[in-house]
Amino acid sequence: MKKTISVLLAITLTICILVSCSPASGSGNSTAASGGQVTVNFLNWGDYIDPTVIPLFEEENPDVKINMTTAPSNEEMYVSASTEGTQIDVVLPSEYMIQRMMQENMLAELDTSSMENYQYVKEFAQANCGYDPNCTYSMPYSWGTFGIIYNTEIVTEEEIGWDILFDEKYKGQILMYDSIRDSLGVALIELGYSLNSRDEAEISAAGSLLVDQKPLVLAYGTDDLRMTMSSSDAAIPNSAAMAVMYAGDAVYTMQDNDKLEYVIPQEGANIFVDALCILETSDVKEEAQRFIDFMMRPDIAALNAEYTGYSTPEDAALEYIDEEILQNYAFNPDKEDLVNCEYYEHLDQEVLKLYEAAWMQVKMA
Amino acid sequence: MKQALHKNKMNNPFVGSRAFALPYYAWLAIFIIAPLILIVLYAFTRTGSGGVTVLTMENIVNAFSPTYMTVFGRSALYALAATAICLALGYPVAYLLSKMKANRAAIISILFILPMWMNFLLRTYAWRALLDNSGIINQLLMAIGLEPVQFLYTGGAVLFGLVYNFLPFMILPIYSVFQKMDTSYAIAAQDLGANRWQTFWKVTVPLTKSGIISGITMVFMPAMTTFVITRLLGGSHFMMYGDVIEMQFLLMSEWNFGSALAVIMLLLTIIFMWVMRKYDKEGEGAALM
Repeated sequence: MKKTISVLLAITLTICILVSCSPASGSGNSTAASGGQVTVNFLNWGDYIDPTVIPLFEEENPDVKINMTTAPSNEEMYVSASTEGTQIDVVLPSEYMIQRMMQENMLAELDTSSMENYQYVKEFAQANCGYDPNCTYSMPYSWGTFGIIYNTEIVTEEEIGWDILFDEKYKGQILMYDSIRDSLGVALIELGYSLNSRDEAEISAAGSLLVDQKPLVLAYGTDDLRMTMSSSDAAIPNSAAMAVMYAGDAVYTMQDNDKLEYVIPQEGANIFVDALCILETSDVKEEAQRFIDFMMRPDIAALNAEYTGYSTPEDAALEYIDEEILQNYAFNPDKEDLVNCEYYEHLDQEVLKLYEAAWMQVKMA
Repeated sequence: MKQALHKNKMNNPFVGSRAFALPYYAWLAIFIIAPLILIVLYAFTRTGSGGVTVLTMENIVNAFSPTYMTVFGRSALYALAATAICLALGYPVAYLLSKMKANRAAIISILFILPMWMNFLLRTYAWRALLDNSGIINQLLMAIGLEPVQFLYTGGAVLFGLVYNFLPFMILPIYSVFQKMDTSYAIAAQDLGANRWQTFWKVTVPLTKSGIISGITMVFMPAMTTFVITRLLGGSHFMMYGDVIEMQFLLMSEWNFGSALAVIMLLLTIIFMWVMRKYDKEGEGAALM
């Protein structure tokens, strides 16, 4: 018996080693779907696409099946996309992660000339996507800002800035964003630095500020903050009063609770673009590109924008969008409020390590 | 003749049984032993300059730094508290269950198991909604004129989540030992002049020791390594050891360091199991583990 076990073990190990060494193991079963149907694996954010869109695409393209999975943060999306043997074909990272993936040659070139709907995002990309102005590797899907959503009955200050998050008065009523760059970004702006700081002293000061803030914080969360904020109520003592939130989530949450307002603080905030990209390792690039082109169609872009609450890069899509949402400040902010907003820039591995160390300090405190 | 045949079978009751075990050994090798070896390999290596993998003790040494040990201590404390509460709640329940009529006991134990048929994440999400400041529990409190209580995002909520999720794992092994227990020992003890209290401590508890020990193991281990409960009910306010390991893998892409933390966890788990087993063997209780 012992012999059998050791033989089995040896075989398994050999297989493991072989699999992990072979470079061509990516997207192994992408093309394995039955009946000539091709599967495109799409790694999306949670709740970031109108649920009717994929069935619509599959109806128009019966030869393609979209298999969607989700990731909770850019960092985790990157890990999934860069893990050896990944099955993922299409990803939807934010601009700073796109820059990193471009640098690491992880993204496939798009053939924009064959994409019918490229014309609708062209203008936005040229004006706003300095990292990839001609959409060579990424098609802008949505954009938005990062700000504070607050209950106007609890937070009564005239002007809301980032310092409200560090105000002792709201101890136990503050919700922070559970992600490295977003939370440290808030602290960096509060300290008057750039949210792309590469300075060790600045980054660790931001970390210390967040460590000091921790006793005031009710919880760190991401998507779940929506639920907590929509039940925010001045009548309940110690109810959550404010949360750091992305505009799209804010649009959603404000629909549930009319006491909520969204503000982009004057000191500036993050503005982001999420764009669809195809991984270099994908075996189904043509089908993946067809899917991306479909997502760019103005009526589809409008569906997704309405569903997610995030602004669309396509002016042509606006006419399909409900008037009430167009009026929402989080969806359609005044352009002058965006002046101080910054994109995240891709940071080098060493700088990123500083951010990670600072964030670890905050989380472990 | 008939008897002879029977006897023959009895002499060699496991004909061909080794072959039946093969699928399981294959499973064991592929999904348990191979990943384990990979984790240990990761833990003792790092990617040096030029992408070369080099052997190192660095990860293990770093994993013993005070920050991580604090988190480890916190996890152990929460897991211990959860285990103690589960034992205090579960032991009497198991005892009462064993005293009930069989069909009634079956119904009640199904009630304990029923929630486990539902996904653990869903159940924990449900508790979020219940414990929320404007959730049902607080609304009830306010309806009867009491101040609402901050349940969610506290250490208490995390502890509650642990107890809630792992209680059945304490009750069931103790219950099964109670069921098999020969009650004549307790009757004999009482006949010989022991009072109820003495009977309980000197006869019943030692006889159910194996159930208690497997209950403790089955609650302490998962409680020690949990990571979702802290996020959902504790608002990620403080981290458990499982959270730290998860963060190293998913957020930091530090597979080597994450593996080192996992290896330490594993070693401590093995030590814990060994101590528990040893303790169990000293008594007469048959090991259930």
